[in-house]
Amino acid sequence: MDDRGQQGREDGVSVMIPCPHCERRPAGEFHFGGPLRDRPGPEAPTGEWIAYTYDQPNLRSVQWEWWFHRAACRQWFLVRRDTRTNQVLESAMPGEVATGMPEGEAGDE
Amino acid sequence: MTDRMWRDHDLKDAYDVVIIGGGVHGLATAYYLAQQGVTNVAVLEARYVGFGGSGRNTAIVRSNYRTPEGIAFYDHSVKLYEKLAGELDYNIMFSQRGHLTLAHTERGVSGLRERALTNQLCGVNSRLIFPDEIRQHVPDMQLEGSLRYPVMAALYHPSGGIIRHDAVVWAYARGADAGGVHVHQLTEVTDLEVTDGAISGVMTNRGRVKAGAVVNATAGYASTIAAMAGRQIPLETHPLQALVTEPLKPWLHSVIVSSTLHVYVSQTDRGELVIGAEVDDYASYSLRGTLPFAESAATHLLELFPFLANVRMLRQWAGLCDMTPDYSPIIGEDPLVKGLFMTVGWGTYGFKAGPASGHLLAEMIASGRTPERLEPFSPGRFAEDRLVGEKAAASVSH
Repeated sequence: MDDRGQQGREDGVSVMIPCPHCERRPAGEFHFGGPLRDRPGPEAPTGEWIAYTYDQPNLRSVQWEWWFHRAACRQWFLVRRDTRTNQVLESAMPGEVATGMPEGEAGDE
Repeated sequence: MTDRMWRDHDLKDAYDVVIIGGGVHGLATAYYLAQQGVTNVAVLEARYVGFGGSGRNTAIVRSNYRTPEGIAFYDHSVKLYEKLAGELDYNIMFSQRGHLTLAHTERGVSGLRERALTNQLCGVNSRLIFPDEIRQHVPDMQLEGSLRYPVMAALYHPSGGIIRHDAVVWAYARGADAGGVHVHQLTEVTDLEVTDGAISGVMTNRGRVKAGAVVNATAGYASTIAAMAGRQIPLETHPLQALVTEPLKPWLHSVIVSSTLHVYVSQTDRGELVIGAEVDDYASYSLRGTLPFAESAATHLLELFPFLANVRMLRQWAGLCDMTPDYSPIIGEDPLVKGLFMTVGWGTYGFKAGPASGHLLAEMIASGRTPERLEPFSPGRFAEDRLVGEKAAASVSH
């Protein structure tokens, strides 16, 4: 089944998030900030803002997403994670990696 | 040798209504459609009946919600559950043993007082009670002493309780089958067909099926199904974990919920304690349990019931909850794809609502108009700024 993957660590009992500053720590130390998304510009039509505010891609796949290490360094950073298995493939500070998002988007947050 | 509860069929080329998802919502919708004379209906289930949220929830049924819209809707469901065993001729073991939501702070007490008054105005049996009366219901619960947040009051909801969730889906599947519905297990929808802005059919692992109406009655796959029609919906999938202990003699006769302690517990008829909490706070489709959940749930349970310290845990599991911005479901026709209906976004409160959502959605599909009790939950409410805020009544108690 699609839910039999590693949880980011060999024994699989806890989801582990690799903070770029603090190494791998249990997910409970972090705040999940949602998937990296293309934010409409300030002049975008209301409909685009409503869609951005409410609709969600909610992907069943690998995605780039925001995490915040609230229990330690208190930095926002990016994680590439498989939402089917919680396997984390990489993490990076905003602007460090090509995320497939428009240029400068990640650093604007 | 007993008869099978529902039959297998060849997949037909066309049905009037195709329902995706063989859980309580899909099967109840199919059952009530058949009751209203719409019998050319297929339920397509990718695995087996009750594999998803219907077999993973913690089986609590209640109607003491926060908003008048929510209360009226869940009350309709409780009333349908009360007569369901007779109607479907199946023992669904609905035990209305009483439901207690604890308050540990002044703010918590005033929140529960507001809910009790709103419940009463809507005709739901629910009231605020204080430690003397709480002790009568749960003499073994610690209300003060070493408890970091002493119990100050509780919202007492006598008609709330627990149910045998597997029995409910089996009974609905059997009832739908008897009404002429085809229940297809191991039948996975791989694509939706939209023609000129209207749904025209579905593609499955067993072939193509034409349909004038398609119902997305899934959890954990709702966004995936919507995306097949090029649509996004306002929900994010989070796992909700639970655990059960070894069986004990019957001693806990109420369902106990504490938002402050992030825990709830009930005792099943076979003696196991069923313990749960909030959803995991990150989005995920993983069904694997985690140790931090078991540690946290056990720690908080022991604050209320220290004598359980040596009780062993039997198993833990996870289910997938599609969380909406207002903790209320999304039910109705897609505004941009005619004939594509959804009963999704059931978060952590879906099982108790299955009869009401199935009953009302079947009426909507059969009659072509939206029943009054469904209007608040329409897919268009987010764009129209008409949210039905139930987070205060649904984030820990499910």
